[in-house]
Amino acid sequence: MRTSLLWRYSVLAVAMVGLLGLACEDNGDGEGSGKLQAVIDRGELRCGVNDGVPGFGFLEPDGSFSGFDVDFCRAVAAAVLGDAEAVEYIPLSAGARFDALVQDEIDVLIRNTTWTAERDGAQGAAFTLTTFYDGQGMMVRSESGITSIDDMEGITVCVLRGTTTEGNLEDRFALGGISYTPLAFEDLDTLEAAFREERCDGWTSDQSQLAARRSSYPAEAGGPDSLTVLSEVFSKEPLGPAVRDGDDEWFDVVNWVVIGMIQADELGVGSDNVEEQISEPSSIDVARLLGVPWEGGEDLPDFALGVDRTFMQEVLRQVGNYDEVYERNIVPLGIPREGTLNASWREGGILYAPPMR
Amino acid sequence: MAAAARVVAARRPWHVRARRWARANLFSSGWNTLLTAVTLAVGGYITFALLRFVLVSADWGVIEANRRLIFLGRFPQGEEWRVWPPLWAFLLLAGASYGLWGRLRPRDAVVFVLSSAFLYAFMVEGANALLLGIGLALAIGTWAASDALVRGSRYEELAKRITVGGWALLVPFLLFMLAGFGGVRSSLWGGLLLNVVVATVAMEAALVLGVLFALGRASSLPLVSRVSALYIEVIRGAPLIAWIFIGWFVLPAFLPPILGLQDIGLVLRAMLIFSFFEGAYIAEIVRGGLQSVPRGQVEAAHAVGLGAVRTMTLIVLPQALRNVIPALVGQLITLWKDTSLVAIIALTDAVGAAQAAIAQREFIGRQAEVLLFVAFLFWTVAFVMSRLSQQLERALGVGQR
Amino acid sequence: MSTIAIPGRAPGFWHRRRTRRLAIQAAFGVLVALILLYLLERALGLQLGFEFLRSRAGFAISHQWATDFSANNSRLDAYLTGVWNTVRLVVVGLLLATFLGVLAGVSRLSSNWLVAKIALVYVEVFRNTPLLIQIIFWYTAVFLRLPPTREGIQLFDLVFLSNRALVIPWAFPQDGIGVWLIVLAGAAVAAWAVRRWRIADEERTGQPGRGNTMAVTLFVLLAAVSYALTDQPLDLEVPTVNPPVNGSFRGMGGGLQVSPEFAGLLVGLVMYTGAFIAEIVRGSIQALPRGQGEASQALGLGAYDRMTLIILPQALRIMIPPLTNQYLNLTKNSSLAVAIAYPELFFVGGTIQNNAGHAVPMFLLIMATYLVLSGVTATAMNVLNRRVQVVGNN
Repeated sequence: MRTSLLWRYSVLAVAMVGLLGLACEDNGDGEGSGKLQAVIDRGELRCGVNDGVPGFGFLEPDGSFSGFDVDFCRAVAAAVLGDAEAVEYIPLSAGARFDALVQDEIDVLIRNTTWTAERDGAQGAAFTLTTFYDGQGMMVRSESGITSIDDMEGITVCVLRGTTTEGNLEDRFALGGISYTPLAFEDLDTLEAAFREERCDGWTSDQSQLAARRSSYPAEAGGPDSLTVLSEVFSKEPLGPAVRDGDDEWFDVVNWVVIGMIQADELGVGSDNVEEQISEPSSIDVARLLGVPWEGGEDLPDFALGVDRTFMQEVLRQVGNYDEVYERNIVPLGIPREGTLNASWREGGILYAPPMR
Repeated sequence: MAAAARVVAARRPWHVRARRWARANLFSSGWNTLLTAVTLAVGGYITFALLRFVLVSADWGVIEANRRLIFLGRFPQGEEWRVWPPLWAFLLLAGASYGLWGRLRPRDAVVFVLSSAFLYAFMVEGANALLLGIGLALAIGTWAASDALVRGSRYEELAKRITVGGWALLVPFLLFMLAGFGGVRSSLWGGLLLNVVVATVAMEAALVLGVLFALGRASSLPLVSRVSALYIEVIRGAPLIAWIFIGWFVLPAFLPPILGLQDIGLVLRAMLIFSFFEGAYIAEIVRGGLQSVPRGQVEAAHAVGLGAVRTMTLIVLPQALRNVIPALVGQLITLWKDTSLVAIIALTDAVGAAQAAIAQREFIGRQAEVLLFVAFLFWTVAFVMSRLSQQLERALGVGQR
Repeated sequence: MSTIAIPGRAPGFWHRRRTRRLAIQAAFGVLVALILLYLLERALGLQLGFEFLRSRAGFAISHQWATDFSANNSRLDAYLTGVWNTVRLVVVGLLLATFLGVLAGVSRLSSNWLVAKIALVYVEVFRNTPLLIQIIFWYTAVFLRLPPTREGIQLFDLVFLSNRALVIPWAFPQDGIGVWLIVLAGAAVAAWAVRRWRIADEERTGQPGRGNTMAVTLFVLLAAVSYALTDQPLDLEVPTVNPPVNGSFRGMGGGLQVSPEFAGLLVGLVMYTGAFIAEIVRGSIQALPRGQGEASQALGLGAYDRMTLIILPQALRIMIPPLTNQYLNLTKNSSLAVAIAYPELFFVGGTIQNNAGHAVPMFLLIMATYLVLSGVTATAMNVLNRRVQVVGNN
C-alpha cells in the first residue's frame, strides 16, 4: 500500500500548479468601493511609507515617522479628516509596496516610488502628480578613485532588490559593456552595513536617497566627505504618491492635495500666513485655493472633489505648502531646491501646478 | 559496600576528591587528556573572547537607548501600564504552578535570583522597578503560599483547577489589556511584546488545530483522513517564511469581503498563519501520541460503555498528549523562535527593532551588541520553556507506566 | 466496535454504523468542496497563469552555480538559477550539519566531562535561539566584519579571508579527469574486494585481518599512482589577489571563492541544524541497550571502534526518521536568505514577484519547488532507511 514519497510529493506539486494554472490570465480588479468614504468612516488614513530613508520616510527612535513623503501623508489626512495626525503609517519594503496597495492594505502609497508604465498598468497603481523629480546615481568611496561609471569594470554594486534601480543598473552597465556583480538586498539598513564594511564598491539608488544616506554617513566610517556621488544620472525617477487603480474619486482627492500644496507655494501661502489669507485673501487665486469668498462676494463654485471646499486650509495650517515641506525635510540632506528640477517652473524648475479653478 | 566507599570518599579533603574527579572525568587516558587540552584551549578562548567582549569592548549604550524599541516597539507613550497586569498575572500563575506541581531545586532558585538581579541591574529603573517588584513579590508569595499551605491540604485540587483556568484565561486577558477599553491597535504592538502576543495566541490556537487535524488524520473515515493528511503535507511542504509572505500578499484577496474581514491587520494575519502552520506540525506530533496509546485502552473504554467521543476525549487524548509532551514543547519553542520571522514583513518585533537599532547613526558597528542582546532575550524564554517541560514531564510521570 | 447496540433489536437505519459514516463523510466532503470552490472563485479574480515567467528578467544575479544567467534571459531562467543556488547551499549544509551534529551528539556522551559540557552548551545555545538572528549575526557581525580585500587576512598563502570572499585552495578538474575517475572506480572495487577477503580471512583464522587499513592503503596508492600517470587530472589552485585597478582591488582569482552571504547562511544553518541533529544522535545512542556498549568493551574494542563499528550503525536505524525531518527543515530554512543577500529560490522568486506582480502563481511555484525538493530528500532518506533496517525488525 505504500506509494513512493517522491511520487506523492510530485502529484501534490503538479496538482497545486495545475489547479490555478488552468485558469486564464485575468485581472479583474475590484470595483471602486468608495475609498474616500472608507477612510472617513475609519477616521484614519493608512499610508504606506518607507522607514529607512532619512528625509523621505524614517522611523525615529521614539517610534514616530518623519520625512518628505510622510508630510504628504499628513497633508492628505488633514484634507480628508481635518487632522494631520490621523495617519496609520505602514512601513513597507520596496518589494511589498504594490501588493499592499492592490490588496487594499493601505489607502495611499507615498514611499519614494517611481512612476512607470508597468506600475501604472500591470501593477494596478495610479500615480498622482510627481512630488519629487529624482534620477538614479552611483555613490562610491572617494578613495577608490572612480570618477565615472565607465571606470567600474569588475566591481560589485549594492542595490535594493525589486526596484526600478536594479533594472536601470543592469541597463547602464550593459550599455557600457562593463562587467559587474550586483548584490541585491531586501532592506536598506543591511545594504548600508554591507557598503560600510566595503563589501561593495558602489551603491546605486535615487540621487536623493544617496544624498540622504551620504549626509548622515557616520564620522566613524569616514563621514560624508569619504563618499562621492558620481555626476552621471542614468535614469528618470519621478517620485510621487500612488493609489489603487479604479477609484477616481479617491485618486482626485490625493492628486489635488498634492497640486494644492504646489499651488500654495506658487501663491506664497504657507502655514505662517494662512489665517490672514483666509480672512483676507490677497488674490482671487488664493481665494480659490482656500475656498473662501473673494472680496465678500458669493461662495466660489465647488470643485466637487469629494472633500470639503476648504480642504487646503487644514493642509496649510497643519502641514504647510510644498516649499515648507521641502525645506523641512530635503534641505537638511544637503539638497537645496534652487537650481534643481524641483524648483518652481517660475524659477527654472519643472514643478508646475495645474490651475485650481 | 558502594555506599560505604562513598562515605569514605566524602570524608576526604576536597582537593583529593577534586583530583580524583579530574582523573576520572578529564584525564582518564592519554587520548582523553589530549582532548581535554584541546577543548580547554578552544573553549577557553571562546569564553575569554566572549567575556572580554561583553564586559570590556562592547558598548551597551545602544541597548540603553533602544530598550523601549526592543521591548515595546512603537507602543504609544503613556500606555505602557497595559503591559503590567498581564505580566503580573503570568508571574502569579507561574508561582502558583511551581508551588502546586513543581519542586524547588536550588538551581532553579539560583536562576531566579540571578535573572531578577540582572533585570534590576540593567533593565528597569524608576517606576518600572517598583512595578516589576510587585510582580516578583506576587510570584514568590503565591509560590510560598501554595507550596507551604495549599499543597497537601484539601484545597489542593481546587487550587489546581483555578490555576489551570487562570492559564487558559491568560491570553484573552493579555489581548483585552492591550486592545480593550480604548486600547492600542495591533499595528502599534511591537518589540518583544509582539513576539509574546503572537506566540501565545498562536500556541493556543495551534494546539487546538493540531489536535483536530491529528484526529482527522487518524480517523477511520477515508475522506476525512485524506483531506487532513493533504492539509498537513501541503503546509509542511513549504517554509514558514513562504506562508508568511502568502499571508501578507495573497491572503487578503481570499478573505470574504464581509464583516470587515479583509481589513484584518498584519498582526492578526501573522497569528492566523502561525496557528495554521504550527498546527500542521503539532498534528503530526499528536498523531504519534495517538499511535502510542495501547489499543487495549480503547477496547477497555468501549467495554465500560463509553461512546466514541468520550473514549477519545477522556481516555485516548490525555494519554496521547502526555506521551508527546517533550515533542510538543519542542514545537512550541520552535514557534516562539519563529515569531522573529515577522521582522521580514516589516513588523517591528524584537528582531525588527534590532535591525532598526543597527541602522542608527549613533551606533555604527554595534550589530554584535544588539543581536546578542536580542538573541539572549529569545534564548532565555526558550530555555525556561524547555526547563518547564522537564518539570511537567516529571510531574505527569511521562515514560512511566 | 459497535455503536449503540440495544440487545434484541437490530439498529435502525440512522443508527447503522455504515449510514452514519456515509453521512458524516458526505457532510465533510461538501464542506471541503465549498471551501475549495470559494477559494477558486476568489482566485479567479487574481492574476493567474505563468506567462509572465517568459518575459525578460531584466536583473542580474550575484551568485551563480551550474548556470549561466544574464539579465537578458527569462524570468524562469532567473528562478532556476535561484533553485540551483538553493540546491548547492542545501547539499553542502546537509553534509556539514550531519558531521557537526554527530560530532556534538557523540561528545554529549563523552566520558570526558569538559567535552560533554561544551557540547551541551553548544546545543542549548544554538537550539534555543532564533535562526534568523543567528544568520543575521553571522553575516553582519562576523563575515562582513572581516577586513576588506586590500587588508585581507592571508594564512600561509593558502587561505584568504576578506569580506568580499573567503578563498580556499581548490582542485579543479582538468581534461584527464574522466580517465582518472574510471581508474579510481576500479581502485575502489579492488579495495572493497581486498577488504572482503581480509574480513573472511579474519573470521576463518581469528587473527586480526586489518581489512580497513589495507583497503585504504591500496586505494590511496592506486589513486596516487594513477594521478601521476594521467598527467594530473586535477589542478590545484591557491588564492591570488588581483592587482589593483585605480588603486582599488577588484577581487581575487584562483581557489574556491565563498561569498560572505553564502558563508553566513551556511554557518547559520549548519550550527542551528547541527544542534538539533546532536540531540537526535544522543537520543538514539541512549536508546540502544546498554549491553551493546558493554559487550563490545568486553571484546576489547577501543572507544573509536566501539563507536564507529557497534554504536553508530545501530543508532542510525533509530536516527533516520527524525534526521529526515531535520534535513527537510534545513531545506526549508534556507529560505531565510531573504534576510541577507544570497539569491536562492525564495529570494529570486520574491524579486520576480516584486517586478511583475502575479503573487499567487509565483508563490504556488515556490511552494511546488519546495515540495519537490522535500520529496527528493525524503525519498533518498527512505531508501537509506530501508537499507539499514534489520530484516524482520520492522
